[in-house]
Amino acid sequence: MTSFNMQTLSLTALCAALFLLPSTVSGQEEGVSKATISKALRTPNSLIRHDTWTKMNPEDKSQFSMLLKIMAKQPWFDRDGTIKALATAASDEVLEKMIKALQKNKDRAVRQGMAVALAKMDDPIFYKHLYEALDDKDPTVRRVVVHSLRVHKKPEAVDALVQRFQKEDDPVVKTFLEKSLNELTQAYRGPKPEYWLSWWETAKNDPDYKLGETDEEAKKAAEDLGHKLKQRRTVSILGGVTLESSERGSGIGVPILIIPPYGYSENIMLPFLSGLEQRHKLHYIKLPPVRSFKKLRTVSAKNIPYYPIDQLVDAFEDLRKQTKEERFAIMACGMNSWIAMRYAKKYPRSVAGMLLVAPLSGVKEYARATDRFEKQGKGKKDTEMHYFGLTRRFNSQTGESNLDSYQRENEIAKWEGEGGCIDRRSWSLFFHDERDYVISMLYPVKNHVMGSVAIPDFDLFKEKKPALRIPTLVITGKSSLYNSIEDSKGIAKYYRGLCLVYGYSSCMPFCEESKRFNKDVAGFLRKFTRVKKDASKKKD
Amino acid sequence: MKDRTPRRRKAPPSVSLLLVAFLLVPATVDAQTRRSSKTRLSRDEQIEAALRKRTQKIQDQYCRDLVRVANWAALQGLKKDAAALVKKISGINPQYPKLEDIREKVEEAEEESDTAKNEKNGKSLLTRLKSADKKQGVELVKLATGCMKVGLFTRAFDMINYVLEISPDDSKARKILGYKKDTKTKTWISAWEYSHRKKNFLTKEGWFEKKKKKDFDKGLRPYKGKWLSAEREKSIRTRNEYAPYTVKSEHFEVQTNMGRERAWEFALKLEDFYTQFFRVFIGYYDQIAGARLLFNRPETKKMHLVILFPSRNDYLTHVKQEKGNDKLLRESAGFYSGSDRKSRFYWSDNEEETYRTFYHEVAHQLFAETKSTRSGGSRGNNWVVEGIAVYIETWKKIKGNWVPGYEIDSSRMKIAQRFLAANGDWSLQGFAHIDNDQFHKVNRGLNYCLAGALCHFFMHYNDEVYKEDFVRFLSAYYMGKISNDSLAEYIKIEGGGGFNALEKQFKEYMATLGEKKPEPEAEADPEDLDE
Repeated sequence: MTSFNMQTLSLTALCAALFLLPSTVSGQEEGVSKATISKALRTPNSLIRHDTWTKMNPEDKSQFSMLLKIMAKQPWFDRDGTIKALATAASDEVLEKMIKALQKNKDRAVRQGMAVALAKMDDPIFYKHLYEALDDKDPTVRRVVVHSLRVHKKPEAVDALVQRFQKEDDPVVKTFLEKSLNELTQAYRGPKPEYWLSWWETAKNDPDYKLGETDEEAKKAAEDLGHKLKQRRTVSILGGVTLESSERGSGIGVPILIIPPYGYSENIMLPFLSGLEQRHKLHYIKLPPVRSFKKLRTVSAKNIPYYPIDQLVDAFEDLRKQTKEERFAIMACGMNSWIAMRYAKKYPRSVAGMLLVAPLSGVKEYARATDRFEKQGKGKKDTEMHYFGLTRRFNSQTGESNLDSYQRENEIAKWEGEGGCIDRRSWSLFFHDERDYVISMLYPVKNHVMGSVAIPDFDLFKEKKPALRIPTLVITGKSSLYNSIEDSKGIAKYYRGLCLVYGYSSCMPFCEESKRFNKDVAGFLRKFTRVKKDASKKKD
Repeated sequence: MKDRTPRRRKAPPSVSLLLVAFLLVPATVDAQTRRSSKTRLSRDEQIEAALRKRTQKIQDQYCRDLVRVANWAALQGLKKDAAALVKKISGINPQYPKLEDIREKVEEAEEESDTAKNEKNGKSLLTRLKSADKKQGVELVKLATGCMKVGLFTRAFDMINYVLEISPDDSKARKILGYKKDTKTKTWISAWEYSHRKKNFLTKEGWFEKKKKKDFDKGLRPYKGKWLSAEREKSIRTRNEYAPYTVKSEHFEVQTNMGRERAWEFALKLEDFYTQFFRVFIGYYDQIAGARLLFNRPETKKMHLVILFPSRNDYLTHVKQEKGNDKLLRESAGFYSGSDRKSRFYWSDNEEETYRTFYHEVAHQLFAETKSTRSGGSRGNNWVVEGIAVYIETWKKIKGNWVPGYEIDSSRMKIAQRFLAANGDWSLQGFAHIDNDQFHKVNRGLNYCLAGALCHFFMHYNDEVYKEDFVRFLSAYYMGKISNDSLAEYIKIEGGGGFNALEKQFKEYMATLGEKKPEPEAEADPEDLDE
């Protein structure tokens, strides 16, 4: 479990801290006034808040202290703003304070933030403190440091990362270590730390070696060894579409198809499933854009196509045939669980088991989630959440989204950067603790543009049950608004499977409670899916 | 009502991209056909006729005054000056009835040899000329006001600018364009600068507070409220992208590690571009908003933020650090991101290329930030977003005047030209149907070129016959009103024919492009009104 404790009364505390700030800004081009900060604290617009924090002056004592408070209490995007402000610090006094906070602050959120701020400065004098922070007691701090060190190519950074890798025991930090080392060196030595050590000892002493240099042959070898994601294209005649996927992991366990939430990239799952990759081959699916399907049924004047579940199911079956696998387990998230459910019904013999993460049983549940966003957003004056809810519905005649019509009818002008605000809010809602810096780390790689679709009529409980019993594990987060615990339990019951509710997660239990997730899923698969006998024999 | 997946997924925060130049094939330089950048008047013929009549009247009056001055000059023995005036009258209206009379008079005139007398008369001549110019200026201001009343804002804007060329001190014209007179220096400055001068002073590095002038003169520079030595400041400001030099002009905030002086240079270039941008795309806004942007220049509530990285490496570090090392961005020379309202690009050794990227990205930014848009609602015709920015790369400043569409021998235009020549079956309708994802993922470089060429066609074809329609189309796209086949609905082609006819014209246009190089026009000469 790597979540933070939830903050309470953060705004009140921050407003109290505001009284300590001077009312005017000294200097000409930098800094913000107390009035601007006060206004930002009360706005629901995350972009305004972020930009205000970014402009704060860490050289000013009271603003420095305010920045720390925001960093400790506010959601990830606010924290990102404070980090950028801190990265502008210049005086020895402030820099000392930052180093001290990185080393000794009790709040890991502050230690994380300081690590990122110091890394962003890219000043040689701070690197030794960052290398020391690789030994922080908290894995969430360590993974942030590891992630931050990937940017600037420095042999000392590689050295520090390789050394840390040898003693790291947290699987997620290990994945980030491998990722950062890959980015810095392009050496693709895989998940085993000792391989990295032996390679690096040779490379760093080789006068001809240039950090980050590689060639296609080395990349190919890394792919073959499973150290690099192996790309696959499946031309599905049945599904009428070409499916792209990438593979990693090996072992005797049943292979698993990984289907991220709709419109999200496999990159949001890749760092967190290393526990499963030790025993299973994982096929990370990149769902094809809607335009690549032919003759889809459409709705509204804007011809919005319905989500092509059945075509995708057929494409997956073609993928299975191409890989010559007897059966797959399918891990599907959110609304994409419908693809797994339909697959299990249509090709029950091809499905070894279903792992449904924060699933929905159908359109009704999707609509209930939409209501929750609208109601809670409005009730809490969380305009970004409210607007997000409104974007999830549209007028079936005109194709206009409810947000557009709401704003038109109420004569509300669009904010500048409104789309970005809504997008960030919807992403934050995937997490139990919205402060977690991992949200920030994954944000730039999360999207996978698929095009706009209309939700097809789907109701699991009205679907015909699969001809065979499909072992099913449903995992959902307690704080998810995208789905509900009751619905998840209903789905598990329908399949006569298990439902686990994670207390410190929302829709990303594989990220927020990664250790438990990997353990639960591995245990479930071991128990309920057959293992290839010949493969296990070979292994022995 | 139907449920659907969130709109944000369909339309993620807009990131407009520009391909790096080295992806493109270098092209030879050809000439091009002359495409007038003259703005078209309203198609309302009655207004047009009335305007022509009134312009003619003002022009005749001006010629009459000039004849009078030339006559006087000839009598005073200022033969050369008188001859120059005759030439000027002939340039304004070669058919002017009294032209021959005055020409004869001037030819017959004798030159005065008394230097003192000539000097005195020369001064008097200048006063007389000024008076004639002023008189014409007053009339043109009146006419411009009339133009504004009927919605001919660009025309009015050009007239007012012309008045300032001939009569720089015309207070009415100055006021219409939002200038104020600085009583100390007796110069006309923008209202923004007027209020800014009260507490600040201008340097090569931009504006600084007057109360800090002593510090500034000592060589100190501001950083986070403290004044440090310029060297110390440099060491901080060039350390990374998070504490760059920042300058603010009227509408832009420029951030760069390249130095404050450089940042200010960029800001000034952007301000210059800003005016031309609104002049060309006034139809993108509704009439009132457009007029406000052109004339009153309301105080910008939010600056347009522009980040210039010192090198491609710095740019790539930024992409890696802040944008997830996105492949499309890595392959770009710059991008504008609507989600944080910033355009970014880098300085390269090729200065021209840098400026092309600079205007390209800022064009995206101005379209997105000067009007409340809903472009996510449009379907199809996604080429227009990059197309219009690529088209703006063809603008060039010549002899102090912007010439939109000038650079048709740019590599992108040439690639489009060659492609169309070799691929006769290319379909405009098919191109209009490409979605944004496909536009950027399949043949991206070529798509940029074709989109830019299409915009050039719509902006300049046949003496800009489609320009107004196309700018309306552009506006509709950004307002989310466009569907796959809207292009043929917005661009009205004489005799009909829709997509096929437009496609044919476009191909013909591209085939002849480069036959004659355009010339910079005398900016906003009211004589141009006499078509």
